[in-house]
Amino acid sequence: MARELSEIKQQITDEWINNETIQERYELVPGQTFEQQFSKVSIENILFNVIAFAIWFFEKTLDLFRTEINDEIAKSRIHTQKWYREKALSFMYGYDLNDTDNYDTTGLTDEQIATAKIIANAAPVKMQGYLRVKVVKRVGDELAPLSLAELNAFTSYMNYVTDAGTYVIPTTDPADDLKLTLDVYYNDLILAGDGSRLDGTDATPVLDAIKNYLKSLRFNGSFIESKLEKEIEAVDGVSMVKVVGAWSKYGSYDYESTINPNAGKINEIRIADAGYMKIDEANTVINFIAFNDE
Amino acid sequence: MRTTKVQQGQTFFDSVIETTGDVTNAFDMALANDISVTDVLFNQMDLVVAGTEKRTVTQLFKIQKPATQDNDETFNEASNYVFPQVLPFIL
Repeated sequence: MARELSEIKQQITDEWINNETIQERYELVPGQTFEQQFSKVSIENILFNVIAFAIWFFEKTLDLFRTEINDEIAKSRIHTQKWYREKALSFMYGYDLNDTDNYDTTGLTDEQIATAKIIANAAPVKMQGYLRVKVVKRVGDELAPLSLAELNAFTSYMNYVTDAGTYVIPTTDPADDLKLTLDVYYNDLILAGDGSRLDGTDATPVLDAIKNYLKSLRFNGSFIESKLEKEIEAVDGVSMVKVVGAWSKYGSYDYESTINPNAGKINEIRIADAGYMKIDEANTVINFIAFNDE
Repeated sequence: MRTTKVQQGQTFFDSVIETTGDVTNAFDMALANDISVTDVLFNQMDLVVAGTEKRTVTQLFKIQKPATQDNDETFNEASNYVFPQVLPFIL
């Protein structure tokens, strides 16, 4: 685990002020701390800050490296959910497995491989008696469901590479619709009553923040109301946000559905059935209220 | 997901300080943008803002944005840099 930046700096400065030669040359008072004897803007303090930052950064990089290696190990352990995800992502549309469970990519260019790997994201979900794998492809910048032909090929592939006895049912659906009712308290020096920026650089900064938040969610990750509030509050000119209500729907369910825990009114957290959500702009209501907290 | 545009003369660290107010967010931001902290940025490049914001600091940089990669060649050359005095500096 990486140490805290302050801990590293403390170690350096302790060593520094306890060094006899340094004490003599700087005429330091024994027993006093580094902070008591050196100014915050002294070159010594700045140098130690920079050195401590470099060491801290390196330690953080090692932490990240360890996490990535653990992740690689987890993926290579067969029959875990991560392994199923990796297998799904390795699918190449239009290519034969030739009786193995891996594609032979000899002679193919990187571009050909990238084009054939159509699965943009996958999430295995354990169900009663089978494994559901939610999959999507990428069209331009957006996620989209697979076509019927692609889904059929993918279903055959998954049931071929997984072990005997595991029944995999891939599903691919359009994004779940998200309906919001928001109260947005804004600074009227920056935003107008319709939510656009007064300087004219952006007509819908709040809506863009919502879209960006939905895009930043992990595939099959949780939509969390309070995190959305934080994202919108980070928009320049927005003072405060309250999610008055949030609803989602998919398939034949509607926003008022109460029979399915994955559709209808959202109680803080929701995992989209398709694995991803999009904002239903026509039904979303954003009330802009001028408010200056000064 | 908040984004920012790199301004003329800004290094990655300038951008981190401007948007989050704390240099320790450099790690999270480098990760979010899949770049190295020492990468050379270009003007108007989009960066994803990550980490925890220190509003008291970011407020200071709303108008005067930090851009330490000055155009003055004398300061850009690392070999030209010398300490203003000889250590130790007694304040």
